[in-house]
Amino acid sequence: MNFLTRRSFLHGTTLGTGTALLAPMLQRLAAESAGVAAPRRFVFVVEGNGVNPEQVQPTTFPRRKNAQNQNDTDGLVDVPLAGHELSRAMEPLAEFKDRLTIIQGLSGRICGGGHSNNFGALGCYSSKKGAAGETIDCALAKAVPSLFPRVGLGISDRAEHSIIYNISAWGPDKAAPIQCRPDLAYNELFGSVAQGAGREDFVARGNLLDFMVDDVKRVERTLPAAERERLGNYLGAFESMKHRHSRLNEIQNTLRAKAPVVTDKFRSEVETDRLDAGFDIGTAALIGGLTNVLVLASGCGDPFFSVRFHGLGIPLDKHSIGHGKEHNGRPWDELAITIRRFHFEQMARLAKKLQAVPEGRGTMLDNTVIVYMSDAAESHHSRCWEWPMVVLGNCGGRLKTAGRFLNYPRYGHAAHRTTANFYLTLLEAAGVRRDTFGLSDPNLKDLKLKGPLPELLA
Amino acid sequence: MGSWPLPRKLVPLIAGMVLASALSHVHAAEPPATDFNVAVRPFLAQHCTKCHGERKQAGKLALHQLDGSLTSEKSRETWARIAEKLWLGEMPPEDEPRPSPHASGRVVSWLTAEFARAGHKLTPPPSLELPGGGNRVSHEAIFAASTTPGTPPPATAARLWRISPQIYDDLLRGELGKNARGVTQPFSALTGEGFKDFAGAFTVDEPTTGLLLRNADAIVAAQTRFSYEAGKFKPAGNTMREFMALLDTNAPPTDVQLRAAIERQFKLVLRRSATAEEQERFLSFARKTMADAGQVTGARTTLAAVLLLPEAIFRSELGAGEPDAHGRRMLSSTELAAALSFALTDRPPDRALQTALDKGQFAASREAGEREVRRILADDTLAKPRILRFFREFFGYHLATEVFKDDKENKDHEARVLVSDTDRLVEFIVAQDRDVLGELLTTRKAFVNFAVDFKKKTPKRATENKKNFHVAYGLPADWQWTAEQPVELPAGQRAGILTQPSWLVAFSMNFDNHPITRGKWVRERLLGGTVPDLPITVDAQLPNTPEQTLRQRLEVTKAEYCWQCHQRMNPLGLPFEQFDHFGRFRTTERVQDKEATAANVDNKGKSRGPVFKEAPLDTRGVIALTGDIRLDGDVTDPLALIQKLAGSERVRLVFVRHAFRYWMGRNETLADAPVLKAADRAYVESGGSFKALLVSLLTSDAFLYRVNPSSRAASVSTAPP
Repeated sequence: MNFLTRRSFLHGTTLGTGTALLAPMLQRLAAESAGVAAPRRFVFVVEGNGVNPEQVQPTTFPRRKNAQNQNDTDGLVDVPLAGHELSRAMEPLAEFKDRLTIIQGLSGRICGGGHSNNFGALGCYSSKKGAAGETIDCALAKAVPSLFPRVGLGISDRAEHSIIYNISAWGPDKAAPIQCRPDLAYNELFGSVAQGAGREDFVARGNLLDFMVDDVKRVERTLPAAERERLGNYLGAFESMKHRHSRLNEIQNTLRAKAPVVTDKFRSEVETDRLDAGFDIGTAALIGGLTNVLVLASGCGDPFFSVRFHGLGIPLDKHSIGHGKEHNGRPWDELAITIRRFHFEQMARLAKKLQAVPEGRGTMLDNTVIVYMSDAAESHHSRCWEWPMVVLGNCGGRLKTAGRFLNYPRYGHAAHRTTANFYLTLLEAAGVRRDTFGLSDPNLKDLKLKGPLPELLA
Repeated sequence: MGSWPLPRKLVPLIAGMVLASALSHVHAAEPPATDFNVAVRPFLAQHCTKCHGERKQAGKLALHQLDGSLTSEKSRETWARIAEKLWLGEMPPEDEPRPSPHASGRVVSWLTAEFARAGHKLTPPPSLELPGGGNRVSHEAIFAASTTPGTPPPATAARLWRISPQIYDDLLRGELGKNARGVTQPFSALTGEGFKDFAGAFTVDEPTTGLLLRNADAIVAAQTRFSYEAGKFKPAGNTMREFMALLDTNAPPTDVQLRAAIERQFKLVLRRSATAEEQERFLSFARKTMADAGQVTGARTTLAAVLLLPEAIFRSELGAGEPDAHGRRMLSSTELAAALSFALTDRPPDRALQTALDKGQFAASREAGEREVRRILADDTLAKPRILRFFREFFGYHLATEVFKDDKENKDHEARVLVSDTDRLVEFIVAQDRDVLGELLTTRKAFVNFAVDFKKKTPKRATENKKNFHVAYGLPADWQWTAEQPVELPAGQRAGILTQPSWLVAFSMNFDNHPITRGKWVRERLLGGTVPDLPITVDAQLPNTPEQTLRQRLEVTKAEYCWQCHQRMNPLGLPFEQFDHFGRFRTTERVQDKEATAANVDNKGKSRGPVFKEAPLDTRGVIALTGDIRLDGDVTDPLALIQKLAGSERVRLVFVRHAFRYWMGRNETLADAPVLKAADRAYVESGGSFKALLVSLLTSDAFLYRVNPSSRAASVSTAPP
């Protein structure tokens, strides 16, 4: 559970990101000559309400499906994207086509399905009882430590939600937050250079951490030796936060240069504005070297998924769209594609920003992988027979994602694979070798489902 | 298992448990309790160097040249390995002469002190401190007629106990969590099967602290909601006057107002007043933060700090007052009131007890404690979820919901209702309060698809959707649901919790029974035995031979290496083959018909799927290696097995040991023998009253007294062998 003890945290930040934070740009340029590998970065763009496989299928490569509209591919399909056209929803990613891989046909039956698989989507388990185990973003965060091991931003169906716990967890019952208020997220990451209320919050938090460190120490002194250790971890947690807080103070110059511009969008009533702001803040956190793992969750988790995208001229909530309702004569799928397209636009914007930052011999994008998926698998009422994924970037050459369309065969076929295999592939790219992730699907017990997807690994 | 052979002892050694108590009594600063040449070297020569010496180095380990020095890392590694084996009673092997517990204890005592002197800490293996480790303490030694000389009187080490997820939930459901949004459970329980809340099991790490901090922000945000209307400060509804007084920027708070708000928050969170010193500290913190970060933010931060105080996160059980002759101090009045309340409810002291406490009318003593326990037990208006939770965690039947079952195979399966049915049965038997364990193990009664309507308080079906849900209980398909429950199940089929479908499902696999985990459960929970963890080098797989019965497929575990452990499990779990993996009674077992399946092809030769046939059912089992010859012997079926177990004194004593662990939040040591004996006596003399057992435990020395481990070191380590 103690993935970040006081010592390991300080150790990690001193040797890793800590130095990088002082002058991220110079550091990155110097990295290569010094023989230091650039950090690996992982971004998850998770959109609620499912990704209909048709909407990410290349238009020139018809989907093979059975009478129940399920993937019915016989054997692994692996074709270059070059000869095919992206779907309308995915058009915004056209300029990155040679860095993209579309993956169809992975199943995630163990998650159970429904409006959302909640923590299970990224954790490969049924989350009927909440966060039952570690999710992939948190597992990766432990592998690529940084000042903020993982940053989670997003939107919920209600503007008043500031923080929700929906799709990420450090371990059983250790949910990791999605910050839904851009202004608060900004304060947390860039508070040391914030103005007004943001600055106040930042200063107050510093005072609180100082106070708590003193207070816990005071109590610790009154305890018998054996119990001091028990409180020691609590103290260590505050010290570690305090350390992070001071680092944010020390690197004000960097933060000032990298912090996103605070706009009206930060407190906007319009969902697309807040999501847009979330992408800006998250991207800045990556570029500023504050984190290597970013989760952008758009209306994920039950009951947070029924978002309305007023900013796109769609006042109809996503739940209704999922149930096939139309708006002003526009059918449900057109509405869904419009919303999905917006997410791919955001993803492209993020990729472009990373591409603009030199790092080593290339750019930050070269050391990053961005995964687009849904917490609800393949449909509004998902059953997790298949779980479409769009992968952009190769994580420093560790993944073979240069313009491919991969379709795994139907559920139960010997070459069928699950989302867990995909997550194990990401872990492998992060330098962590594991055989399994989450819980395995008992109905696939006769398949060889251990380890990553070899066809995706470089 | 590395190069050490598997533990081969059949019953846990006395050594382990004396060490458990001896060790906790040695303090870092203590001088070495025993001289190396007196206590340790002869021990090594007598028990170790025959196999780990000059001529032979089993496991590449040689101990003959060890001196008493722990300065090198290598020597510390070797000594830590020795300590672990002694602690667990795994060495010397059982076919060698056994050292006395005190001889082993002295070695570990010496080692603990020497490690401390070298600036290192020797800790018991985690498995000893977690719920499963309790069985390592020898049953025979605990219940021996006379106690070992030099054993200290019962007491629990002074401790902090992180509050449970349920206590936190309850806190948020009350005044404190009102209107708070985005608050989430920060704490986790132990995972898997067994007791979930052990005092020594938890610390609070950084992700948890992060959640606590955000929760504190969210709670305080809800406590301090306000707006301005036409420039005029307006509190939101349902807010507290003391907090509102801090927030109007047109009227900055006075020290008196700040003190009142701090006091209010202390009362809400800690249920006590702030001390004068705390008042000063919080006041100056408030003033500083308001100056640095503005009035409102500063005020909110001050209130949030109260929610993060260690006292709000940990239950304190340090003891107070003058120590007695054995260095024990009784829990303070506040600590005792909290300990009693948390023992039975998930709440801090109720109004009656809190008032008595505030007025100084509740002073910690055994008698005052007993009055409170009896009062809480007798008060039906006070929910006591901790009692049902004990039985859930003891039996583990509630884990049925975690076992995935393919609904194609049985459309009437509804694990959630199976579990709630067993909950009702447990509550029914506990309410009768006569021969509770015997009833739990043997009753033919059951609740079937039974729930109580929350509003009307009348019985109703727990599920309407599963038409033949009741078939899991062996009731005929045309059985008519009745509100008059419990009902009698068909004769000759069921006996108590272990034959409830919920328990059988909880200890089953996705597509099969699980005789191994069932047997393990019986071995550990009823017989008080131990089974080592599956060695990591073993990839446990049953052969994929669907034409065989599960019993036949389990034959692979009879290989010598496997059977060392499996002999303690399989023979106790196999009688439950009487039921299928949904818990349905059966008289034959379905296996694949190999020939018929091979012949079942269409005209193109493609398989049309498997064909099944019925195979004879074999429900025989063996009770063996229990340490009680009255128990050992063959059994023909699960009911015979259960009857035998239910009549056993040993099983009853093991049950008492488990109750001890749950309510003390730790494993027993030899020193707790008098408490365990008294609890058992109270249970037996009351005709099997669980309440009597509880009263005995909750008024015992182990519950009431705390001891600072270092203060007792001398008395234990110098005890005569």
